[in-house]
Amino acid sequence: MQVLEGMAGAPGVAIGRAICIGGERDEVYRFPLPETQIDAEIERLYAAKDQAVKDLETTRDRAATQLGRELAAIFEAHLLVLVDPQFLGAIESRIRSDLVNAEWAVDRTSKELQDRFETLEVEHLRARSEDVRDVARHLIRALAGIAHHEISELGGDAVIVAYDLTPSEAVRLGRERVIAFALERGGLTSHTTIIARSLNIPLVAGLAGVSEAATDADPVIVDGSRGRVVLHPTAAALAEYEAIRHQREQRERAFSHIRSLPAVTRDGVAVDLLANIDLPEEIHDAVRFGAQGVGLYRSEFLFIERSPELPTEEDHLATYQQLLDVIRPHPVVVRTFDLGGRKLAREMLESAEENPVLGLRGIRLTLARPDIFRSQIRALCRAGAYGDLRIMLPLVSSLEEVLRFKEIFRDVVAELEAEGLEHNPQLKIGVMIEVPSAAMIADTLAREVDFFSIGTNDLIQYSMAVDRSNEQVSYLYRPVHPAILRMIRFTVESADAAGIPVSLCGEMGADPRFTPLLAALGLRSLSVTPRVIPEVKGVIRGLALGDWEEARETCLMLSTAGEVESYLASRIAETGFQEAQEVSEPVSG
Amino acid sequence: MADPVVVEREVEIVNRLGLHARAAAKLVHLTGRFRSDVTLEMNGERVDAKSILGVLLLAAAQGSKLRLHCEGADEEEAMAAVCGLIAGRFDEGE
Repeated sequence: MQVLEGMAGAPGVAIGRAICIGGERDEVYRFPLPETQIDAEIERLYAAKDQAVKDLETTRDRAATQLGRELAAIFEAHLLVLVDPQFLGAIESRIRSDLVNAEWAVDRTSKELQDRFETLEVEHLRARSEDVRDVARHLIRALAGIAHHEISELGGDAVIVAYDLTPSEAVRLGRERVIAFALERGGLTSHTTIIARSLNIPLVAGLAGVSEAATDADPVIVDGSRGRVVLHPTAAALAEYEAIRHQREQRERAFSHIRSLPAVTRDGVAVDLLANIDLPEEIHDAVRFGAQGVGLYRSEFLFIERSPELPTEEDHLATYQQLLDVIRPHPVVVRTFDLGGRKLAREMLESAEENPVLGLRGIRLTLARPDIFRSQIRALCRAGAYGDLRIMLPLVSSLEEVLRFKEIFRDVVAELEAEGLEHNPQLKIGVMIEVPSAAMIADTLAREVDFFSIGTNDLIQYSMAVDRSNEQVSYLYRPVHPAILRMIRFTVESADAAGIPVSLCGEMGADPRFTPLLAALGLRSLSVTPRVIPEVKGVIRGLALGDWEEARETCLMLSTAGEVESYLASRIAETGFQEAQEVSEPVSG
Repeated sequence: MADPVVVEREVEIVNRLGLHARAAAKLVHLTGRFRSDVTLEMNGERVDAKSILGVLLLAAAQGSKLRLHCEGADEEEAMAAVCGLIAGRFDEGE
């Protein structure tokens, strides 16, 4: 057995047999040609172009129906490059002037173009060099007549092991009987990875040496959730992964039919389901699983990705606009930087804190170093003019923090005004309720902010004074502890009294054992990992909220988390998920 | 055929994202519909407005001033259409 570690590109587990394609990089060789063959070579170039255009058009049309317009646009962009007169003209003149084969001319020309794109200052333009590279690969494969890897003779368990794949290859292979991808190159943000996620096919990228290590028909396990590939698995490993795979399949099947149905209880109460995301690319998962917006975009990744540099205002702006574009007309809630200063490598803000969880992080860091975070606030304010964007402040523990932030925000508005940059001075500013002190003054905070989002993970951790990763005390981490339920109730009541919306964005919201109670406590919006949205929706659709009013009162009177847990379990066993499916199936039919 | 006359105009990129990928694609689709040659010039660099790579490599941000040239049988129509697209912020709804 050989275990290879890579990056978790697209989640899921697949067990199959390796099909190795393009074992190594597509090597391109230089063949000098006699002048008499040049015209024929150029004809060959254009024939390959026509073939590649045809292939790409097919892929684009397929992608449009199977993946949606957003991803089909990738191929639209590739087509435009492929027929670009400047691109083809440059290749043609290189063949003529250097007297070389078309493959070599394509390769050289595209590398020069990629270099030029990589010198551009604007990040989203720089990323277009990936398009040029992909198009060049298409052309080169079309020239070699190997544009299609014929895999129709495959069994139902093909795991594609490759050095790299173009996005269009991923689409084509993904629709055949391919069940997973294991790639030597690629990354979390490449188009190929995004497509695999959308096709719901596990993908692991960045697997050093995988194309060397695997040979055709090797048994292989791809764990796209953990970024791991197992070659020649033992019987025990096979059994373990088979169980994981089976479980996942069952769940997916049970809930796939309700993805497009509204999240409304049987007695007509809407509970909006939004997505928590870390990477901008996850916005596509949010759409796919039917999220009604992004309830929590953790902007830390923007900083981590650029580290040791800080992201520029334009980096922020482009990311926020990208999110808004995809999820429009739904909202995007951006949480400002929520890590300690130590994660900002270049700045080295830390003075070696003894207890960083209780230290300088979240809103505290933002207020301590407005010089660093001003660019984020400016970008948020500007993006607010572009779509329904909202700011959420993490780790708020007192009213002063909110007021201080609003002062900075007003400064930024004045600044943008003076610079004549479009912005939204009325941007909605909300706070995370995740520190017990904030929950206890929710009524006061509600008068100063536009919305609340209850962050149960930290709220539980701080309330119980428990580090859930510490095995010796993690038993104390109980979402339905009476203290937590009371804080949630007070927060919801305070929000209702002030007429502001309140959401819940912790893991608790994604746990079907707790969903009915949360809805009964008055929450009309939950933000969860995109993948679990269908499951939570199933629970909501099976729920008669009226029946839960009494149950809520009972829960609030019970004395321990254990009592609440067993009470909820018995209630759910009575009214349960059985019903949820009975109710939703006829509607979907 | 009338003499080929060059039509020229200065245009400013007013949409927020500038000539980014989607805007550039719209521009190239539009210019491709005309027989005239259409070029864009910025900071002394002149590119074919029917070439997606050329347009993207200009990296024209919001506020950039471009010189637009159209030359050919339908140059007036091409000029009007391109100016309309740019002034209309590429229909990005901002």
